[in-house]
Amino acid sequence: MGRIIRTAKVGNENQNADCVITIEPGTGGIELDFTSTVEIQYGDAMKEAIYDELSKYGIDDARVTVVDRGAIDPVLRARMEAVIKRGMEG
Amino acid sequence: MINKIVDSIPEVIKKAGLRDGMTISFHHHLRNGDYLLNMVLEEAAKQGIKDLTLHASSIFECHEPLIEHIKNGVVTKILCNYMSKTVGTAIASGIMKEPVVFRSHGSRPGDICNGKTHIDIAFIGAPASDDMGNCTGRRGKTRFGSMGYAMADAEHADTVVIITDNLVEYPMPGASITEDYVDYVVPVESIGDPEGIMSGTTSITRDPVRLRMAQMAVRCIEAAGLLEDGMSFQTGAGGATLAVSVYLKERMLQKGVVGSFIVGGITSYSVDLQKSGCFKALLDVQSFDTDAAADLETNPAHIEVSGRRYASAVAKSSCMTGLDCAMLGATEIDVDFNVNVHTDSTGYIMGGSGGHTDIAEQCRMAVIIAPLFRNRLPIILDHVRVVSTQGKYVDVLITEKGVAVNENVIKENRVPDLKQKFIDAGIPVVDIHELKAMAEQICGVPKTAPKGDRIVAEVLGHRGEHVDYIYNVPQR
Repeated sequence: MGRIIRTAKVGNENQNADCVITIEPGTGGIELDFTSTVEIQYGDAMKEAIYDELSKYGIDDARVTVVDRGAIDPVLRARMEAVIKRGMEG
Repeated sequence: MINKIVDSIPEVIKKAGLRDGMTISFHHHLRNGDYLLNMVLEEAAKQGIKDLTLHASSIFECHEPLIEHIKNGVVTKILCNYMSKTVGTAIASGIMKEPVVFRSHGSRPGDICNGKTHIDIAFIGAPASDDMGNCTGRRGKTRFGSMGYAMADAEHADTVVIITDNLVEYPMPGASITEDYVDYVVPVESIGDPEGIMSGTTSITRDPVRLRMAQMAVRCIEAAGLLEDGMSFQTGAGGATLAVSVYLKERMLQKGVVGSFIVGGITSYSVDLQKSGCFKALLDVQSFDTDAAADLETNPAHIEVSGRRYASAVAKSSCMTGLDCAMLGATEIDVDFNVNVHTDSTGYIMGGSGGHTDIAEQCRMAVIIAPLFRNRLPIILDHVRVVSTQGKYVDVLITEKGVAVNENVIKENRVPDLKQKFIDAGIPVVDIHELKAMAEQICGVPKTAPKGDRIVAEVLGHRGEHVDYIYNVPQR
């Protein structure tokens, strides 16, 4: 079971085709705050990828904030992986 | 002795007899630095005038106050060729009852000249004017270069008002618009912000993907047999299309080809091509940057043209008549090569044809340069949200993964056997459906944004004919 023990942030602010992700220790369960320039077109697919990455690391208690500007799936997943690993570090 | 000088905007509005229901016109050479449109509408609002039709060649970010004038009923109808994001978003949200009518840079002057659109009062910004209204955009602190788009307004409006921040001695030599059309001259402190005036152009992209597409464009021009003495060329001011100019220059010098003219919005890159001997002349309806505006003043081969001469279908001939090839952009293109340059993929208005549709319809080879996707959104769709330029006029799509050739082009002057010529030249020709599939493999298939059921704008084509409607974006 992975545990988020500190706040971590990845991604470039205001960079097209990228996303900024912040992860914080949760208060019981996953809390996702998701905004995207392509929310209508890809919002569902992106949320699915976010939950999928969290579950890969067994994270079930975290606050995740995603501000997306059109990241493709591999970028989103790589950012998720990075932010989770940093949030889990002591 | 006639005295045309009027001291202020409020006074000229009264003298010119502006009243409810009239049509007032503006030109967009001051681009995002324009003060005129806001000054005039603010004063019209103050004087309680309602129900105006705004006949502006383009509407920019700086015209945000227009939104309030629409809500307050000062402006109840808009005719334009381009509308940038802020006002466009408000229109697409449905703030105006009457649909906006989008024309092109060619059909606007065409419809003014043939009387389809009548202008009561034209307001024209001049960086230099004498007291009788002989004026130019080529001199003065707010110099913007060519005055092309304002010329039809000056010739056909009932009343013509020149607003200037640089009153010079009569008779001013080299006027672009002359006194015989002008009723009033209003000296003001400033007609625009020089920073915003020159915002029309960007620097050349450094994105290797886009540079590759620009190189491919030059290969396509050559493979089509158009890179020959006497060629003519049009390019926009976008990052990738500007890069085409640079590679084209390289290849023309290598081959020793001397072209005839470059037409359009003229940039410092076009000026450089002409100065390097690649092209003999520049036909300038709008000067995009300081260098282009300065060159127009001093270079006899740099020719100022009216919007009508630039691209009108009702002109006896125009710069488009003999145009060989053009580089154009697209926010969306569909598998039938229809192009959308009016809205984003959610349906909000953020642009307009400008000269897009005129150029595509008239030139021998219209090339769209666009990446497979931008910020995850695939550019190639089954159907574009809005048809700005019809696919039957679009010859080629260049992407980073290959070049698609439209075999259903109906233009008489099109290059024959284009696809075979490209294949023979080793250009990677790919079916547009395949290109679409490549993008979807990377991005996923996008869900389509919902479309409202209210028409917020109509798109007219090169000849002023109906092309498509733009619907409202449902507000959540």
